[in-house]
Amino acid sequence: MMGKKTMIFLVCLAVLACPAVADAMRNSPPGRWWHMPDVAAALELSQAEKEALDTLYVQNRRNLIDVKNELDKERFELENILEQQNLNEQAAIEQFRKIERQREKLSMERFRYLLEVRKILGRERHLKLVNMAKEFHGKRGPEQNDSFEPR
Amino acid sequence: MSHDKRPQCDIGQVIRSIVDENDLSPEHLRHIEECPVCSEERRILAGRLGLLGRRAAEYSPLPARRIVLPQEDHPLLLRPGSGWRLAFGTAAGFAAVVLAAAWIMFRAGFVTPVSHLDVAGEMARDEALMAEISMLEENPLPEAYRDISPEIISETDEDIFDFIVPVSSLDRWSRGKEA
Repeated sequence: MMGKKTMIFLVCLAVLACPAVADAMRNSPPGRWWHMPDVAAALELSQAEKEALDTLYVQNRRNLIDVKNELDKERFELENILEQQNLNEQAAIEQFRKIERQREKLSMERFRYLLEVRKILGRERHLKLVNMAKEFHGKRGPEQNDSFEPR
Repeated sequence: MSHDKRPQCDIGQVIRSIVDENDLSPEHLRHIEECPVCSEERRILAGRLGLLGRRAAEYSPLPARRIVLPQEDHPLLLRPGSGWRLAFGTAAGFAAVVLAAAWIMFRAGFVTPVSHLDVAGEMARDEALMAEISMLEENPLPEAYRDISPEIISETDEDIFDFIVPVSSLDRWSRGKEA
């Protein structure tokens, strides 16, 4: 019988592996895009919604940085194990599992952010935002590295 | 001065004795008390003044609010320690007013919390952070092992293929096959 945790993990994995979700995560604009007057006007964002997005952004980036730091630490530990004269295979595998767990946390945190933004905006406005971001990325081109700058 | 006026009698002295006894010298005071003319003048004047005072009180409208002056026995309006409370209350009230004004201004949009430059700068930093996170999500191996991991090699990388099988070797192989 499959455990509840395994089920949840598999569902999350399936959602994250879905091309549409991956696309949305890739295309979501960076930073506090809701402070850009044009975007805020196009999406008709209220002051309360902006404040909710601000809170969400701070919380999400704080968590992402925490998990990323943890992941960096685990990567360093793996590097250390792999560089030993006598390779401890079991320790290396165990360390890689830890890295994978951190990686999953990272993905989940990003997805949670996407989910919360979607909840705040609602379907129509979220689609509008994704299209705006796609349009911007299209205009900018894949080789340009400018940020999603406000006018 | 009506009758039997003596040379020392002076109506000015009599009036001064009514207004303020301390304003007169002891000799003059003694004269007013002993002299029947001056003492009578004083009594009449004092009576008229009293009557005037009563009439004024009768014809004056009563004040809307009764004014009570503090008694001399209790000159302090504030009890000990109430000064601190009053100062603290004033300061707290002032701080509340300032905070309320700042909040109202902030809500009304008078204060811009972030400028466009701040937003742009933050976006650039955030994009860099998210790019790093995406990279870690795709391949979390340490730097040194990332380049030789199967995930990267699985992508079509012409340089890697050229390194493994140089073009010159391929030419020789094809020529040998033809022969």
